Amino acid sequence: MPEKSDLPQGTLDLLILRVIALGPIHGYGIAQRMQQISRDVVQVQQGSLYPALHRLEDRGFVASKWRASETGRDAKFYQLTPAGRRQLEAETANWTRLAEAVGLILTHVPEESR
Amino acid sequence: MPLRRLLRTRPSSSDIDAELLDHLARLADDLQLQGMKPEEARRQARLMVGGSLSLREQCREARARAIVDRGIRWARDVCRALRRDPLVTGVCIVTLALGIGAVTAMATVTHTLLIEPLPYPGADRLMEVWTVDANDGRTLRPGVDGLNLDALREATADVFSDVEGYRYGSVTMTGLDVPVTLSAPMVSPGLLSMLSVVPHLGRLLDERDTPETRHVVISEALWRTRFDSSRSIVGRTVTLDDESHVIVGVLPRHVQFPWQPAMLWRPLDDRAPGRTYAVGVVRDTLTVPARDARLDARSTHLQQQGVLEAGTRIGMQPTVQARMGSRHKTALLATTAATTLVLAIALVNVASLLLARSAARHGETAMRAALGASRLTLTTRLLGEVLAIVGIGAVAGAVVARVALTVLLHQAPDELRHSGFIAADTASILPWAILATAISAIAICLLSLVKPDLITPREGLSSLSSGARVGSTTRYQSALVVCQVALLAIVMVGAGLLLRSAVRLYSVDPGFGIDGIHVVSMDLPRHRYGDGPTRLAFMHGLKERLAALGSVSEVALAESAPPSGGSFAVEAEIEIDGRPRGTVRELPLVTVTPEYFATIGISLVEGTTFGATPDGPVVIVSRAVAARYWQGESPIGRTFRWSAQLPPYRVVGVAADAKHGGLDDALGQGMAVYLPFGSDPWPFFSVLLRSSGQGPSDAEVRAVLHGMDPRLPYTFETMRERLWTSIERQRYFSLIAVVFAVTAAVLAAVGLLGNAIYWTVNRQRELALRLAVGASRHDIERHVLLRSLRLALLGGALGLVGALTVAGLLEPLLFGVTRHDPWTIVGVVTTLGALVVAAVFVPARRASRLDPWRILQG
Repeated sequence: MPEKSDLPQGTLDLLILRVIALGPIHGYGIAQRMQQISRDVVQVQQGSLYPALHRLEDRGFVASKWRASETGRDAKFYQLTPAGRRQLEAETANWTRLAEAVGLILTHVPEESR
Repeated sequence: MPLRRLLRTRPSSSDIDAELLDHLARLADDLQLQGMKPEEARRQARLMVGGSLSLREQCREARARAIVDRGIRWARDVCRALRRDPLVTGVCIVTLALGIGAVTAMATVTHTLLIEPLPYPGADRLMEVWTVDANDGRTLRPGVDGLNLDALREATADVFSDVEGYRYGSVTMTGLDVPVTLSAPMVSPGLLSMLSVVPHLGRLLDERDTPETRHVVISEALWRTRFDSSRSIVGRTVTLDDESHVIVGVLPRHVQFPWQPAMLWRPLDDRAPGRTYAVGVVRDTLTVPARDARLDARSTHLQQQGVLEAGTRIGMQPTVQARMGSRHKTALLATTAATTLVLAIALVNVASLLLARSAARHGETAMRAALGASRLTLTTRLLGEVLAIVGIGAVAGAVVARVALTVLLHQAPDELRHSGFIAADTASILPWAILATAISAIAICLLSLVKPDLITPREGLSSLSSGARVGSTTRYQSALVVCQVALLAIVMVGAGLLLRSAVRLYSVDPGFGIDGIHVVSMDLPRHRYGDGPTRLAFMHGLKERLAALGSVSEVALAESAPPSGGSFAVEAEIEIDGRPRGTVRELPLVTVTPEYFATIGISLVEGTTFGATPDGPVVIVSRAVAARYWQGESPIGRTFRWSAQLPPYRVVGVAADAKHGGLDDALGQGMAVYLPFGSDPWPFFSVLLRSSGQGPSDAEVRAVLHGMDPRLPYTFETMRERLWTSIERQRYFSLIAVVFAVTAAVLAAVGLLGNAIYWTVNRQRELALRLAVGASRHDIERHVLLRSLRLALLGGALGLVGALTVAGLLEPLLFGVTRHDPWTIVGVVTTLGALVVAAVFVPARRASRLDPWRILQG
């Protein structure tokens, strides 16, 4: 099993939004999907996932609804709201910019050492 | 969206549980797919998920925190907004405090006096029992002649659940530092318990107490002021009218029955000669018609028994305290109305200040709106600001009201203070403060938030870029200023009319001398001055001793001194020279010694004053009486009679008209009849002194009295003081009205100032352009001033029209002025003009100092 990484503060929400953006999905699916896409690097615990989902729903970024799932059992499906979509865009842009900046700093080679 | 979010039902714990169970099941399924046995898979899944209880809590907490966060963010936003313009916030709060404070204080007073004058349970069913005229219901005399309280109680048992009685009276308390006269009702043993009074200390008077037991209860005020609130007061002995009495109880502060300030209650013996006032509690199941029907049946029955005189019946009227308040109904309602106008001005002020502020923040608001803040978010923030301001203003207003109430009570004329005023305390303020606050909050929200264009992003942003502002806000704000000035004009006209009336009243020529006249008044205790000769000896003795004082030139005795009336004949049936000449409602009777006219300075236009020993019944009439009944002929030697019970009086002189019954001369219309001071005078009397220069000092008078009877309380006043006191009511209400008018003026001035500042800031470019194309600084100043004056003129005109319409309500309070009084109107218009100039001067000046080039380039 690959090494797990801790997520930087506030990133979980972004990731959840991103996963939900792909289409309506239930909580278990979100965790599975995240693990799958990140090739097992990101393993989100239920203890973080569900509070985060509730928080996002409370802020109006996601909406939820119980309906039949692929297994035939009812599950609570989450879906992005327009506000959530805006939030995702803003946060993604923010994150990308920050990641680039971090990358720049980390890969920076001083003039004299070249 | 935020509102929906707030209203959305929180997920139930079963919802969260179901979601977690689903998660668990899916995990177990996956583990099973990976090859675990079903049971093992479920166990493993439970282990991985952990305690579902704590997870459920975490989910709920995540939401709760979000709500709290939002609340804190909102509160922070509101506080920041309030702090950013401390001046605007401060002015709003002070304005509201004044408005809410004024209306709360006045409403409390009015409510206490008019609606709830008596702070006793079931006080609305408390009625005085009177014998009334069967035809017109006019009250004739208290109680029913020939029925003592027990008989009356029995006779009216189907109307009143209880009937008790009281008599007027006072006692002199000695043995403490100075002798004092205490207002001391005599009450039947059950009266206080009928009122459900619970004693503060000791007990009430009850059946055990008769006049012989000499038991008394005292008021809280007397206990506090004379006995240092001593806890061991019960059982203490005091000297009342030279006899020792035992205090058996102290009544609570609010109990002031049957009148105020009652200081001491004594047991009543209603079989002793005297007039007992009966008070009953109407049975609460009775409707008014049923009550009247039963009283009629009882009256008929009593008439058949020969107890009740024909043509009369048993009637009732509200208690004396309840009646006192309604006597001032017009004045109280008018002043309360004035305070509502003050509040209205305050509200308009706050609304327009907030409007100006939100318009000034137009750009910011528009930016927030464009960034995705919903309209509701912005509105809730504004609402938060309004509510915070109203909240703080209300608390400050309640404090203002409490202070104002204390001042109102302190300054109130005795007449008002005697009518249950004491019941107005902090607790009675609260409902009015809350009401005023609620009205304020709603009005401000309506006035300041119903401006939709304030938060439209498109317009807002475009105006941000162009630098222009929204004109409609300015117009709306100007309309508010016009309203304010109109309201102010109404308050000012009212105050002006009342003030003019008070001044007119005080400058009335009373027809007698004022300067150099002093009055000593006293009430001789009955037990030591029981009969006519003793009283007369004392009175003449005092008169002579006072006449011997160096500065005194003339001295006279009178039953009572002007301008406080004295006695008068009611429904006097006038008979002139033996011929009946109709009835006079109230004919003032002035009983005096012969020197009275010279002392007080009323000239005798005909005839002479009384001789030292009058020869038969003689009278001096006022010129008004002479003119009315003898039309130019001399009344000297003719006869005047005003009651069938009295002999005809021979007229010996005609005196110039004087206003004995008060400066407004409500009694008698200048008519007065002077009678010689008899051999059997009432125990109360006044000595009038005319003197040159300073006149006698209080110390000199005290020394004289002390030499005669050291245990006598008395008053010593100048005539000017008496006149000043006699217009107490008019002074009081005009003072209140003027204070409210000044408050209203200050508030309106703030409104005008704010409006002018706002307008000039918005018109900077236009003003700069005017300056650039050659307008002088003076022109600009005038331009700004004229604009405000135009608004004020419009408002003032509207207000005056309104004032002239409603001033009719004030008519009963006016004296010597009509409601169209031109001087008041001129005064109001001038004051308004001056107010506008004063308020707008600074912004106008500032506008004229603009640097056109900087503004036009910027």
